[in-house]
Amino acid sequence: MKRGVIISAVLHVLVIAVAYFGLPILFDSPKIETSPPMAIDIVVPEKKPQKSEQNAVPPPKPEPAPEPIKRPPPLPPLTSPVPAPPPLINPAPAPKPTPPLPKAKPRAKKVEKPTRKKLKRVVRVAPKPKRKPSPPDDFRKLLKDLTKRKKSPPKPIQKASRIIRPKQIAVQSEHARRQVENELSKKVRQQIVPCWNIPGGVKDAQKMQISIRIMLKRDGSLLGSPQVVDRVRFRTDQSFRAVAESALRALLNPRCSPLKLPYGDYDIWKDITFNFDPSEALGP
Amino acid sequence: MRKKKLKDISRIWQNLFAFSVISLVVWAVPANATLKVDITSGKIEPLPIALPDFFGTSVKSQALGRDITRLVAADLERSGLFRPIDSRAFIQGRGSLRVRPNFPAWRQINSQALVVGSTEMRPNGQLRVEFRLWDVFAGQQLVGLRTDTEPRNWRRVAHIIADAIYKRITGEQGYFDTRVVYVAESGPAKRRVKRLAIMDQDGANHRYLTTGSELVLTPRFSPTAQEITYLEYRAGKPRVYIFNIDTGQREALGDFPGMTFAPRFSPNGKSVIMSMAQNGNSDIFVMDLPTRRVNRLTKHPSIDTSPSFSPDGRRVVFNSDRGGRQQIYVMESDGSNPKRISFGNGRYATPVWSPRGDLIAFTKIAQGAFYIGVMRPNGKGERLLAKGFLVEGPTWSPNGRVLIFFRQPRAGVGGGKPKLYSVDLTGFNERVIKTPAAASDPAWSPPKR
Repeated sequence: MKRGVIISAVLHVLVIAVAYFGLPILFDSPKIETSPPMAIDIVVPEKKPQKSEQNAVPPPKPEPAPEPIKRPPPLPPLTSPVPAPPPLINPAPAPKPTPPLPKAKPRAKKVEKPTRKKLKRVVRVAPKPKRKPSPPDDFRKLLKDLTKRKKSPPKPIQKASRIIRPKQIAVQSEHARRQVENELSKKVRQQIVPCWNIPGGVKDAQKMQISIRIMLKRDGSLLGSPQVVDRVRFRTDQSFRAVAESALRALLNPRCSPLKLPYGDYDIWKDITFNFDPSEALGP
Repeated sequence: MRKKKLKDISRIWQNLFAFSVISLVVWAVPANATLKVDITSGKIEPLPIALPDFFGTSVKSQALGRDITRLVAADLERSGLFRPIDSRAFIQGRGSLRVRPNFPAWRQINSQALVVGSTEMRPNGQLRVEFRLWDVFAGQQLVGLRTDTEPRNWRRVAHIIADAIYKRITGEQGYFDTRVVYVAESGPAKRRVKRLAIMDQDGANHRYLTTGSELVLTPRFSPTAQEITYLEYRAGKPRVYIFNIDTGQREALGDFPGMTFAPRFSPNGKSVIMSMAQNGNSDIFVMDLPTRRVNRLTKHPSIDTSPSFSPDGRRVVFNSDRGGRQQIYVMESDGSNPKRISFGNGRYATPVWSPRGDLIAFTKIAQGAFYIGVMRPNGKGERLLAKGFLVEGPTWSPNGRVLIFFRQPRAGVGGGKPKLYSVDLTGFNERVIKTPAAASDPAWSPPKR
């Protein structure tokens, strides 16, 4: 009898302890990020004070008093990159910066010129998916080679995602989570790859894997600045730094930020660690 | 009996309950906080960079500032790694730029880097030049430098600034403060006049070093000094000379038995490696410059020629037909352990080890055409970068990123005159280098110290 009581008591304590520590995690769903609201950079007041002098009456309007006092217009040289102004960029002309290639721009629009009028695939409809096939060569080996050798067929990038094997405790939710992660990984990759300008001639490309971690806000924009994981090497190895900075530019580029990701999965994609690896693109 | 059963049952339920709670908790803990994404491809494009004209306080300093800015932009653009943005696209006005860059305005025109500089004439007559390189996305300064110099050195200042920008962005030494020596050819084909000529890497400050009365060939720069070694024919005999560009002093390396070819400096500048032909056999020798002692490296009945040291001085790459056809071999610097590294179809010649150590450039002749190519020192990763009726004689920039070679079209096409070209090691950005006359046999200097 006594033994039973003791065992029962121990089990109860155990259960209570587990419940105390474990259950809150179960019920803790919507974490509302309460980071201090990013002061939207009021760039405008730099110009206004000069113009406002022309008006006779000194207007109080340029300065909605409380907020900007803390962050005066001169740009904070600090961590947070100035959030890109909303009137973002014109999608169409942007991605092809090299003027000598005339075919870049009009392609998306004027594809349907020939006689067959496929009214379904008319120009207006979603120019975006059409634009994707335009640089097919970029995603293969990027270094030029005049020999017409049989190269091994280039790996299509979309398949580069890692399929992680489910744990031994094959749980439904784990598997589903992995699938979601793979999908998100793919979406993120598709958005960042066009912005990564790889330093083409870098030496020892196979030793240049760069790990960078970012935190994101719910709208897909950066929270804080990207962190290069290997800081020592970033400080000491100039080639590594050059490649790392190219990766950082890819992440900070207004054309690829904010990331467009499903709202509902925010908990999964709010914290991303990138592995930038130029070795495949630059060949042996 | 019943009591015992009840106790057992209740214990079983308790265990079950504990187990289920525990497992719920285990499942509920988030597996790994960070989502992992691999980025293994991208694009290779020149970096868009904005270079507004440097500010100046006086008319003279403004003019110099403008010239300097344009030269920096030209250097960077010619490297193929940067794309200066047309100034008409700039949004931020010069007045406010002088105070501080407005990064959103530069981002809007897709500028990823920004150079802001100023020039000033000092009271002592010197020109002070100052500049900053900004990372536009991060809004941070990357490099800031200032220098005082004679106003007439403005070209060198511009090259040094371009070097600093290049180095900060690519991580590698710049090569803009360098020169190229080559053989200038003129006269009819039967009576060709060949003179040594030298110019800045952008073609400026061109001058001739020899008169053309003697035939000159294969100039090669020392990696450590402003000296070249070259071949000159006197009375039908070739001799190796060392020529100091700055002092104009010239010295013969001695008379060698037989014909001497393709001399090159060692990485420390203290010896010269070359091939000598005697009785139809050609072998590789090294001469120690201070002592003039000659060491023989190859002892093979085949033709061994065109030697080039690795940048650490430990190995030598050369050309040999000991396998039946011209191929590329690598051996230790004492001549031991020669190994063939080229295995493609065709003949290989003029191998040159990159100063960066990771590539060997060569000339290849296959299927009736000439090519300039690169491969790794182990022979893998062969890539052909340029092609022509005749292309030959690759030489590396001091940072091992760019090759200059010469291309000669068929007689009749362009008069059959050779010209100099440069190409990036990625195979892109092939450009012609303007010279006053036909040009061949280029060699690239180290940066001036």
